[in-house]
Amino acid sequence: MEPLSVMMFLLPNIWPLFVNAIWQQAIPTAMRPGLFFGVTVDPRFRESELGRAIRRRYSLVVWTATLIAAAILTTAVFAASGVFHGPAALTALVVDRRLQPLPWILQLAVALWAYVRGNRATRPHAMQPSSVIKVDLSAKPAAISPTLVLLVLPIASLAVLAVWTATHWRDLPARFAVHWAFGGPDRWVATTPAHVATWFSFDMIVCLVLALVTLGVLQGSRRIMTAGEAGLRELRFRRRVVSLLIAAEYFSVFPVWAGLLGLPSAAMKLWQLVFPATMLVLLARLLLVGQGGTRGLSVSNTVVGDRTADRHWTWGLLYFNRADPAFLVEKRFGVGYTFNLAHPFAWALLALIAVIPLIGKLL
Amino acid sequence: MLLTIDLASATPVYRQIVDGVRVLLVNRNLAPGDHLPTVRRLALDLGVHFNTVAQAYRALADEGWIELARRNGARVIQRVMPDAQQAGLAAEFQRRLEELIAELRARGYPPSRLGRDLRRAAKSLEES
Repeated sequence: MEPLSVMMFLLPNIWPLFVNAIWQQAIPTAMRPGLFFGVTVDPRFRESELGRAIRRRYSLVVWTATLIAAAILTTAVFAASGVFHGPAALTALVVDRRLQPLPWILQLAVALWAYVRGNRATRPHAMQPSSVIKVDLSAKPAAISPTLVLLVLPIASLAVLAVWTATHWRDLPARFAVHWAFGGPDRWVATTPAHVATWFSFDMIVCLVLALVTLGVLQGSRRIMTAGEAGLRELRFRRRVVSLLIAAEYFSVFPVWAGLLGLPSAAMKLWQLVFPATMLVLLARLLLVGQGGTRGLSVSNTVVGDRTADRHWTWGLLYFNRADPAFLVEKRFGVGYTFNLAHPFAWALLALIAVIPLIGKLL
Repeated sequence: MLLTIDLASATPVYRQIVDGVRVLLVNRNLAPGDHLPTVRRLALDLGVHFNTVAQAYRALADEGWIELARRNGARVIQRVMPDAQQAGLAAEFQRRLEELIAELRARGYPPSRLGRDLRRAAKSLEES
């Protein structure tokens, strides 16, 4: 492996590890004040001595795992490039595409373990959230109609492209790219009706999932605070989540257009830079305002949590409550929303998400 | 325009919604033409079944406060005030007031404070 290609491999593979570590490090302070490592607590617990100690232990483990994963990856790249003789298992991390995510998986698994430890340490300090709910009847929910139009447009653009493809079959290139590495396309398939239909179905389902989740955020999730400053901030947070999902949907249709129309690879290179950069900015915006827009709000003495009971959560990660009409609820560790696994619509959506990689395998 | 519900209260949630919205209506925090949240929206925000909110809205519609619109919406309407002299209304008021006073006293509410609160309510009624 040439020095340049060492950098070309390391750059796209190392930075996600560090971005992920920064994200994981920030999450405990970005949660609602009444939630700590997935447990409902007194809003002042986070800044207590014990709360700080739990956070310190968690951060230490996350960063140790990140540095180890980065070191393994760097060593593997230099071994594969012939700088020194390394064992085959190590070089396989670079050479074998299937093994490339291993350092990333290692980091995630250790971070999850650190989180579960934090959850266990917090559980003895759990508190019952207040049973009193105040709803501002005049608070308007986010408008749905403009969002609906924005969500339908990418799907409609795919439909237009499908019609164009069917009517201009002879103008299509003999093969089209379905995967892009940092340097350009690295997987091609022949332009057959089966491949084109699979490529369209793949992206159509991605768009559909993103659209349904967006509608779920707007129409199928609980507003925890509706009144006053907290209510306004939550509404703004919700809009930010929606803008992220809509952006992801628009970016997701571009590769289909680029592949089938044979757009120059420079266009895809630009997409590869702009897409993650936009997502990072939008995610950072969410992190800055905190879960539900609560960051910077004055801490109250009332234990509100997220208006769900701890007993419906497994490790503060999986939510299952048949009595809750919401199919999406705020994450207890993370920023954004997660499924209510007791809701049939959540399972339908999860099944749709599971289909995406299966269709990807066909290409 | 806050509706306060206590999920741990012995009073059923649908009854709390009816009572809470009625207070807002009587105090004119909600005026004719105002829209209430949809059944779906309010049920999600409260974390209760859709039927609970639908039942409350039906009760308010039966009392003539709101009309139920399409897609589970509800709009406040001009209500025709029933005849105050109708049979039994004064007796019912007396009975419920006595029940409430007895319940509050049984739960330790100081009689002096109760008297003060009742006087304040009476004064507010006379001024309205």
